[in-house]
Amino acid sequence: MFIDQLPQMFLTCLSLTMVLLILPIILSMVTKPLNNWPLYVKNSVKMSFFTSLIPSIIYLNTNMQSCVIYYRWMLVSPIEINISLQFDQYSMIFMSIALYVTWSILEFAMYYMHTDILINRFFKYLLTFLISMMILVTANNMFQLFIGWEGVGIMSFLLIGWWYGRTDANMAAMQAVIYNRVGDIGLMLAMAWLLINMNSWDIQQLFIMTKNMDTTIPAMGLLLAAMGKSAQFGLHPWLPAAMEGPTPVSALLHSSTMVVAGIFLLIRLHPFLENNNKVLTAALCLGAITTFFTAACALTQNDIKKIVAFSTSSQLGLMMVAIGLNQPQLAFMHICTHAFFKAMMFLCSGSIIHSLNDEQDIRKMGGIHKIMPMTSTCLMIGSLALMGTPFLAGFFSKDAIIEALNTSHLNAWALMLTLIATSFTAVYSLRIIYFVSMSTTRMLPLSPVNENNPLIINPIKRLAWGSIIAGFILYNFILPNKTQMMTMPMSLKLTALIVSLLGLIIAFELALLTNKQIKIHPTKILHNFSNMLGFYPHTMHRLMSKLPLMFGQINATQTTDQSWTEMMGPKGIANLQLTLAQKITHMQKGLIKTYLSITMLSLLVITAMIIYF
Amino acid sequence: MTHILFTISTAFMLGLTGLTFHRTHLLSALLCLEGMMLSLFIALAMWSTQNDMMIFSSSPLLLLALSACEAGLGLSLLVATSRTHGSDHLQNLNLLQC
Amino acid sequence: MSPYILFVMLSSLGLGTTLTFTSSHWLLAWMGLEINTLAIIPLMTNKHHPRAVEAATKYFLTQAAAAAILLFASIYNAWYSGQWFIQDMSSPVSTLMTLAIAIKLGIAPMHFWLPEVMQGISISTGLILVTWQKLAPLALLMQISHNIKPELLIILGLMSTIIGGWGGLNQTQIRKIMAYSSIAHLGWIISILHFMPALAMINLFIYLIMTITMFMTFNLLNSPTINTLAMNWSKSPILAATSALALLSLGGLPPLTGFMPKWLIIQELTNQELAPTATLLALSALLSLFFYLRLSYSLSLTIMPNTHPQTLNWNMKTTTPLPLSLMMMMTLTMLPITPTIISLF
Repeated sequence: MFIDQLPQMFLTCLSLTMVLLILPIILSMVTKPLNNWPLYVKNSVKMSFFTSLIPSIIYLNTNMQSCVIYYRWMLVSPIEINISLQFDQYSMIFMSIALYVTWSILEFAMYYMHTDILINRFFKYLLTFLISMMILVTANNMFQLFIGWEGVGIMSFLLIGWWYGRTDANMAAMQAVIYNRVGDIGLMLAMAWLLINMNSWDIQQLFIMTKNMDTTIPAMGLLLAAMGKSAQFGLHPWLPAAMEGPTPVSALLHSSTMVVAGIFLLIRLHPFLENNNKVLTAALCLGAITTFFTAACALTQNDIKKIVAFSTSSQLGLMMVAIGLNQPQLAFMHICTHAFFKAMMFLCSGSIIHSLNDEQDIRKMGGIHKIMPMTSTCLMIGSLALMGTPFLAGFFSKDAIIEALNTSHLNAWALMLTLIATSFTAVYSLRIIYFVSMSTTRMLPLSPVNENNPLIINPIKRLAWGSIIAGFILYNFILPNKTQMMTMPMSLKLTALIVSLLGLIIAFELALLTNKQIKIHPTKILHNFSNMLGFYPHTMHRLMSKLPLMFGQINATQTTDQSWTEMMGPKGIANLQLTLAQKITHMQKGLIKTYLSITMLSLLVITAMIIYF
Repeated sequence: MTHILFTISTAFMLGLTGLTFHRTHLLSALLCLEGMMLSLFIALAMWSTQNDMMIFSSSPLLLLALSACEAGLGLSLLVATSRTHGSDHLQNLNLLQC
Repeated sequence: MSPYILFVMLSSLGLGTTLTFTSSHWLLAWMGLEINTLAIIPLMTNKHHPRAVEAATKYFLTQAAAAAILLFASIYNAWYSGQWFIQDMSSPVSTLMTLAIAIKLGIAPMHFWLPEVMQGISISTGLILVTWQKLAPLALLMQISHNIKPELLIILGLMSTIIGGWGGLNQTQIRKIMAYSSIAHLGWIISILHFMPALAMINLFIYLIMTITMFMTFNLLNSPTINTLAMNWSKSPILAATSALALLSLGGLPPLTGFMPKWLIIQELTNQELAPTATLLALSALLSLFFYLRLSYSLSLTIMPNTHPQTLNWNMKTTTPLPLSLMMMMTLTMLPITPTIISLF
């Protein structure tokens, strides 16, 4: 009997999950804000998480998936657009994880933002952000997906620019929205192509209809969209810049919403890509470049949030590599595990930053281990999970991706870059730990260090558990759709671990060098390249806008305005006349003899001329 | 061109050249002017004699009279210039330059 | 200067010009010119100050030299052709004659004496110099015009208009500006002289009217430089406004009288297939227009650039003399009766 009722329960709980999420928003529209609105929001997300656990468990148990059409929204003949939600393995697991992570982040935000007078609005924004992501994840047609996609984009703009009084925050928000618009062009291209050629936006229908078609154009569009949203190389600068937002925003943005939306789009629409080698290769190379480049940038950053942000970018590159390897499930796994430890690392750094009186520079930290043992421990767990230490969360997904890469016969160049990036992961993770937790303190003596607030400790602890066991759970319960390579030589199996260890050892040695000065004038070309983010923002933001502006200035201002309409035009004519007028005037020196001489000469010349001709 | 006309023309041109190119004293300019008038006087006289135009024989005298008036005017300006500018140097006459 | 002497001088001035007008004999014409010169020198040195004396000396030297060259040319002509008639000039000698007359008129490149002489004498004498004194040489030039090569006249005319324009651009003294204006207008007159002497007469006539108007205005306002012009809006507002228009008429802007001769001359030159010349003339008129515009701007659109508080003579009872009023009307409004004027000449 219980088994019979499972589908009803499954759907009811899923619907309840969504309703619980949307309820605070609706309430805030019809009533005055509650006294403790942040708490209310947090609790509803929490309840929503627990409710979503039920269908997830049912899914894990019985592998039940569903696709629900709630309401026919509009019929623009011949396209029918429904409000329809898809609950499959991706959306269901992601929903639970996102809710779990968001719950923790909201709780942390109650501590972090408690002095902000607009904290209610902040929570509403965060909630809307999450809802947009839920819409995106559960969307069963392109239109709904687009709504979620744009919702995530606009909410990220509002949240990154939360402290809009600061120029940097505004700049970062603008960058985020502009880079995302570039990506959106790709999504719109894909949607338009699908609408023209398929007459449908329903994802399931599209999969069936495009089975035997060349989908390079929409797939490339989707890749561009993912590139913008997931900050792949070329459209990546907004992600490190987005650090200007409040730390909970960074945590949410980098873990379970926004940046993974791009990867999620490719996972969701993977059937478009899977038989298209061009697009897959593009994704692979793009991911490899991204993971390498951003890891290299992370190496020399001094802002703790920036290092974490670049590590996110690098992991996103790794996810893209997994997509390029035609292994969407591995990418999804990595999204899930990554959400836990990345959110936790952000929360830890947020806690440290607050404790050190808003100090973000890791050179001014040090010895945190002594005064904030909980936070620094969790930070270290997060770093280890990020490095792929065996049996922590990151290991199961990251190791699987690198194994799949090693055993594939694809691009060796991309493989090399990814492996180097993996070793870099170890280097910058160690760097954070070394500078933040170890050795002596370098901070100001009167820092308001306090981590004994349950609002700090609980979310971080909760996420730390996730970082430790989530990988194991997911690994055990998700059955791979694609056959994995199970047997391989020892060396290949251990590659990921070996390069990480290698990175770690080199980083230790380098760290020891910080106490010795071997060269008086160090060669800093590589350091500058890494520290200045590969000069990419300078080239793309400054140079690319400066060149057309200079071109325009030279053309419009100098050539047209100053030269033609001024120098050659009125001024040129005026100057010409002025010179000649001065010459004529200068001849008048008051000397009658000169005049008579000129008269005589012109008399002779003219007479001679007239007689001759 | 007859010898006489050539001579007279040369005399006139010399006078004109002196007037226009010699640039020190107003008095010398006036003298050049007088020389030009005298060459014209001779030219006129020679012309009426050569062409037997007796009716024109008074015209050289008319010319002479007017040139004398002119010379007188020139001399009076010389005096005035000397009084106002201190000397008869032509380069002193530069009050009116632009 | 006592009125008797003034009377004698003015009547000699009239006599000289009339003598030149009426003579058909070169010697008599020369005599008229000489009498003219002799009569105006005392008028110039009327106010005995160094500048007047200097102006008179310069005027005397150039005029005497020009008269001598003119007489030389006529005697030369007589030696060759044996006759003294003004109308019959052989061509090479007529060139020399033209140049001698050009010196007398102040046509570029023999114009150097004119601005300086104008600067040295009073405005009323200046009026005589740029109007009455031009008549006798122009009468001679008009009589020999059919024997002059048109190239010579066009070259001289173009040089005059252009140099008149450029010369006036850099000036602040009104009398010098008017001298350059005179040079430019004479350029227009002699450009058309060979092709249509009647048109040159019309141009001369209108030039006389406009110049007389302007000189009478400046005489009345007593302004020697541009910046003193700016005071006149308070002295006589109507005169300030109308004389600004009269200046534009002098520059040749359409609804005013000054446009008529320029229009007709350009048309005639184009008919003679001399469009480039006409274009150059029209362009050089722009140069002149610029300094007329500057004058009228100072006259009617600005106030005195004075910082210290001084009482302005607001609406003084200056009665505009009747001749000036008449001249002003003619300067401004004769364009509609163009056909009548053409039929007069």
